[in-house]
Amino acid sequence: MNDPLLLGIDLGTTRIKVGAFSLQGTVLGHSAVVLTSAHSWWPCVKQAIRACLQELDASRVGAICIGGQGPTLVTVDAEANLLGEPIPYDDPRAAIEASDLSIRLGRNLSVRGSYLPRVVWLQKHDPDRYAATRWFLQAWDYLILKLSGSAVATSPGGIYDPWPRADLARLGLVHERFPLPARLGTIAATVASNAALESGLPEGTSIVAGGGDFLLSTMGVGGAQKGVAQSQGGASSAFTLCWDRPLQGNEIAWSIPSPIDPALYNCGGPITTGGAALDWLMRDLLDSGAEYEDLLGSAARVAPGSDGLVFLPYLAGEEHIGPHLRGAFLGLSLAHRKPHMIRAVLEGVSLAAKSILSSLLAAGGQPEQVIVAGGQSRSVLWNQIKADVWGLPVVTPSIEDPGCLGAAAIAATGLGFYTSLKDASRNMAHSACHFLPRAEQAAFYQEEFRLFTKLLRHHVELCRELGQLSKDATL
Amino acid sequence: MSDLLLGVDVGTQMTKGVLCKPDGLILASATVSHPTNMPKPGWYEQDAETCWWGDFCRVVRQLLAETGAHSSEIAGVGCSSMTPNTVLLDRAGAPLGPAILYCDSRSIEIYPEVYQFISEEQIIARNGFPLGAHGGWQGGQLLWIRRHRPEQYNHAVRMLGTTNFLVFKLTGEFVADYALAHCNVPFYDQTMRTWSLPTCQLLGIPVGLFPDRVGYSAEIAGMVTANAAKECGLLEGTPVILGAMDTNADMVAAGVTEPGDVGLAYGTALLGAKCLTQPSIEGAYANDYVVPDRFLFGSGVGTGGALTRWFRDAFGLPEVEAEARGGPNAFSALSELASQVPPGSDDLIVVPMFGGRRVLLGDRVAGGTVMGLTTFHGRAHLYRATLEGTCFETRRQLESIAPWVPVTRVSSVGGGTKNRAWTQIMTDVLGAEQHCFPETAGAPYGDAYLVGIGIGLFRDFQSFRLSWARGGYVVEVDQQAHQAYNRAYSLYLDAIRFLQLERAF
Repeated sequence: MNDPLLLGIDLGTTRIKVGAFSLQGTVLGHSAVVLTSAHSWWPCVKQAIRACLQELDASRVGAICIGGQGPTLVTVDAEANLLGEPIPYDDPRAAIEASDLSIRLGRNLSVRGSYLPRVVWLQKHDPDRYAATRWFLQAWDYLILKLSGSAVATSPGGIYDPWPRADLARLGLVHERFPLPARLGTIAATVASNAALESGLPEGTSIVAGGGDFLLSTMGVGGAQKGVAQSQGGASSAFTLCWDRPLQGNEIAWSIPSPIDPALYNCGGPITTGGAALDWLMRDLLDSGAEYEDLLGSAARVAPGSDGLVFLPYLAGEEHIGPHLRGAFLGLSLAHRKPHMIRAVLEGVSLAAKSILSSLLAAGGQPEQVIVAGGQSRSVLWNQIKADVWGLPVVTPSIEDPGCLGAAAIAATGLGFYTSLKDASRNMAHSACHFLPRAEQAAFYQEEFRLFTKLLRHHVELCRELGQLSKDATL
Repeated sequence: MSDLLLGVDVGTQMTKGVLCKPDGLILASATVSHPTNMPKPGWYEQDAETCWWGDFCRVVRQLLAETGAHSSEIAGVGCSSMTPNTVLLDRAGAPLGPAILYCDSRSIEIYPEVYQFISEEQIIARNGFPLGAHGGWQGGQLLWIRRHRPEQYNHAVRMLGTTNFLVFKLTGEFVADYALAHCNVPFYDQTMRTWSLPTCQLLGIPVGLFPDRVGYSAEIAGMVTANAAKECGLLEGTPVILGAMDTNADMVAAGVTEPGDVGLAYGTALLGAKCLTQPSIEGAYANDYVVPDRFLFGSGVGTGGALTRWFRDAFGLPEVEAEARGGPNAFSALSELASQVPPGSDDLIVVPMFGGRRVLLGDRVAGGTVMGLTTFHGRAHLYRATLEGTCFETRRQLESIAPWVPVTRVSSVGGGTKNRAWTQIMTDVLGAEQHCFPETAGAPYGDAYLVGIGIGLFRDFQSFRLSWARGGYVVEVDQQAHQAYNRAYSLYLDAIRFLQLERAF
């Protein structure tokens, strides 16, 4: 098979996406199915695979790779049936267990970075479910189990690292319930006959070990290169730089080895309500029937700086800055209208990312360009604002959803078509548009950022006080 | 029988008049609109003769025509106006050039010259206000004319504001009430209640330019002259009082008379004033009021009705469209929307200084602010929080004025009092019963009442509440909401402290 189809599957929170690609990264088929509950994951993935392959010769599929949301904890019984609802990656309930585990294991575990605290939480708070569980799985490993009948823990070495057995033993956890690891980019399992019938995949198709959505999209945009920064995402997003050593700074929430290239590190921080801020503004605050595009178009006619209006986009707090942090519009006047508020949101989210960028710069990182992907990158205006605010070229990938392409690139590596993940990513990911910073606007935003930083500093203080006050008043 | 009381107020956009019976019943009201000329950005002018006096005459004739009353039935006349405005008169009493209005900013360039001769501290010591407060004073306008219009200044024998000009046209007298005289900063001395001779000498301004007599608004200035009678249709010999400034006349119409009374005017700007018996308290200065030995400490949120209109225009498209299709009034629909959100708007805070502040209480805040936003908050929250913000700011400013004098009564006038959601929030935020008079004629009604005081028809100001405080409704405090607002108000004060850190902003 010299010209195989590579199937990338991205299990998101709201949709499951499947893409079929050539070895060069050309899209040959694509489908997306909206998810309801976790019980819909398995039927939906089969439906999406069939839809994606509808116009294609399924026998050409060389390998598939599945990744997506995580660390989400899925528990199944011996027949691979779901036990209860998964505990999703953004569920904070195991926070206490996370800090407890960090102390006991002597390494930093957070609910955003690992599902182990959720297992311990179950052990403590839902012993029946804990006892009935045959396998503790990541969301995508659950799908691999359904497709192949084998339980594996994919993506070792990444941020969703399975745990050494010694650790599990020290915590009193039964290690037999944790599947054996499969290394990222290697064949972990093959499609079983019954699953082949139901999904339309050929029986015996290789399933290559993938990982979390950040890994997938980094592969899909060619982001694992020193000096390449990424700001991906729709509702929530992040700003990260790929660098050859770990970087430390106030706004740098993580600095972790890249699973794609062990010589590199992903350093950055989250912008929890990035695109969500815009959705919220459009839908809830403006309650506008107007089209998204029209509203964004109107914001393009407002000058940089939104006529003095500043938006602080921390609508859901920000773990590493302050949990009490909230959003704010500052500097409103009677002359401000919807377009000003929209532009202020686009600018505010970009300035929040710049806080992370400036920490990375201060720590010695030297980004050459920023790849943007996901929902936010659809707006040409937003991309240009980002280029101006960050003072860096902003690049969009050739496909809107690079997660599937990234998974396909991992699948190609697993089949041996590329010598390394890095190689696969470089050959299969392509860029589409370049937005260059404009000198005049960049200089303006440099000043604006100074103001933003100052306002944010005071605002953190205020929100801390307000949080305290709210608590006192409730008591 | 001559017992009808005539009140006329000159505003920026129109002149309004009412003709009242002694019991406060309005027999007729009349309105005449007039233009403001803007020859340059920041310059605002009106013609004293054709606009101020001409419109006064038109309003009087309209009122007489509408009621069929004979001019002999009018017992007296009272005027009020926007201020500080300046017009210079020549020897014959004719205006020299267009009048400069209160909103005109051209005289700012004069301040450095003034400060060469007299310090800001001295001006504040005599008048309570620096030169630039409230956008400027008649003194600055006069000095600007001296520098840039010497041909006017050299022929000037008198300078007057709007009310004073009308009284001069009616009676030939050059008079001013205390509050309007005060608008001549720095040439007035509030502590002595007369013109400041030292300042006049230092700056080379003849004191004779200013009115000959200063007194309380309701005092009789003189009688209508034969000439004036011919022009405006009033009877020669009709008594005319000194007159008032518009905000004072508004507060009379709201029934503010006693210490502890608070008056609110829900206009384009939301204005509040508290009545006290002393002219100054630490950090704040009063205007003379129309009631002897009463002083009004004013505050302005700055944006009141302008803010609700902003919200409607910026966010209220669905309501505006529904109204256009024959649905309910957009403001009522928005109030309905606001009522879906609990008091305190789920910790959403709006600081309502959208247009800068009209009165400075030792702090400066630029720009409106929305704080505490989460994805949980929607449009209804924002509207309610906007209304609440104006009420919190009103409370904050009123509390800064002699907090040891308890608020005894809150009376409110202005178009915004039609917004029941707003007045209920205000009452619950202040924790004091509020008497709202949405239908009152406002300043001209207050003028008419002052005439009754001036001609001795009423013994004292108490009589206003007996029969003149008409119509309206009373808003009672909802104690549960008041408790919720006390908590939200402490959040608001924190937000204000935060903004004060941001002077550079």
